Amino acid sequence: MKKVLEIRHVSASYKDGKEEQTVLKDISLEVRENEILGLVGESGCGKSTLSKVILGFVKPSAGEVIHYTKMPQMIFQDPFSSLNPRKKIGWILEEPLKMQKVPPGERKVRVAAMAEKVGLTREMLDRFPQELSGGQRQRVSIAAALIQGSRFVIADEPVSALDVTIQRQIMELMIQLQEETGISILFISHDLNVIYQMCDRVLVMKDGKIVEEGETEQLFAEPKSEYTKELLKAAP
Amino acid sequence: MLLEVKDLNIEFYDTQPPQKVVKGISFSMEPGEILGIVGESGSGKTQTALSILQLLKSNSGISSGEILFKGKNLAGLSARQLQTIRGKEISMIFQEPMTSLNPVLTIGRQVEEALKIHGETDREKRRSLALEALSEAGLGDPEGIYGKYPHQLSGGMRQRVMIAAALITEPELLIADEPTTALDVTVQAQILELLKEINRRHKTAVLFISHDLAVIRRLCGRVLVMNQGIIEEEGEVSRVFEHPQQEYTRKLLAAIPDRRTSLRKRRRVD
Repeated sequence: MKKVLEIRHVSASYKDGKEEQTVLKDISLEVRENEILGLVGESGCGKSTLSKVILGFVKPSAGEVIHYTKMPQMIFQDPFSSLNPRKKIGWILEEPLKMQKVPPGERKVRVAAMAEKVGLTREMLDRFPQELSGGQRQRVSIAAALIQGSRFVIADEPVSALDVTIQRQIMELMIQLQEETGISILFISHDLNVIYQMCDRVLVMKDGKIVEEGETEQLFAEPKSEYTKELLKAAP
Repeated sequence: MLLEVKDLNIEFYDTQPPQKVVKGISFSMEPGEILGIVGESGSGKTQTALSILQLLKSNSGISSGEILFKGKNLAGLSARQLQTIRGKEISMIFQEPMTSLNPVLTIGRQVEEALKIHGETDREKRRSLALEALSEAGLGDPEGIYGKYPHQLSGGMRQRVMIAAALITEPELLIADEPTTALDVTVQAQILELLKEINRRHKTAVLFISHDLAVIRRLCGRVLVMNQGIIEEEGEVSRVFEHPQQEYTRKLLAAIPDRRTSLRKRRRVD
């Protein structure tokens, strides 16, 4: 099976004053083509730092990060903070295509097609981010991540801030788009049930380490690490 | 009857005409019961909770209705009259304890505050009650925590401090607005256990507001399902979860992520 990303023995640390804090400890993993890989853990486990290392924002102190495709696009928990409040949705979606020097006519066509794919109406392209609901904004950030034709997307708690009925719609949308395009998604979440419903494989992180890894059904049915068992027991 | 809400209407005044957010709801609570209110954003659940102690923001207010606490209409009281009840007979805890705790005051002072406000002048007595409350809220080493500041504690510990501060006056009703939403799942489970324990031991009634049906199911005996300002459905938690009567409740239940059904056909990728 081909990979889009490989991480080999990566460690990373932050300097907090004089003290050096190791937040990632000898992490190895791979993200394969055409899969949704879940990464689950509680706050402070290092899951967000891991995505920063993948994107090159944090330099690992040891180990290597190998990309087999273009840099992944990100989808965040709160799209509000990642969407420019002064620009209309249509502009936001068109911008990356401008950078790629796509001709204006084709840009419009691609933006319209992508908007339709993620369930945004034509009229919404004319609005500002703050004029949309949380669910609609998340549709915009999904469209923005996919419009450049990326084969790999990192989604960091993409449904955590949403109401449960909207959450379900966004989960279904991500699944549908993944199945249509065959892209790879690293799906980061604290919610075990969301992970269960979305992912092919799962990594469980605690204190900067991957404590368990496996295919979803098996990992949930027969967790091996104590920590995974504890998480499963705590989650209603 | 401990609490009886009758035909409560709440409006936001910053639009013309005012926007109704709670539309004539009625419900009641028995002493010692745990009642959940569940709903999505805009359902009016938080406004309902805030209105009981007149904590609504200035752009909103009760336009009509009664909130009877042990027969007394709280909605008709002045701020001063309500002071005698707030923090004494009824306490409230919130989602983010960091914003409700004062960062420059020690934990001890904040836990004791309600005692001071309600006339306990004996300093030693306040201290010993505070230590007892901290310990009852599940904080080991209450003496050590007493002198600490909020930023020195984890999120779960801060929520325990809030619970200690809310319960030090032994209120008959605790209103909890999404108190576990910002917490990690293992800590969330501990806080829910703590609330159950306190309810069992002191017969404190709990009005528990949450968007999370699974949490409501773990904690509450009865539940109100709110949607767009009305109560869609009301009943025993087990009945509502197993045999929802209303379309909205069914839709809400169906959307909860669970570990029974995957939303997609899993790919084998090895």
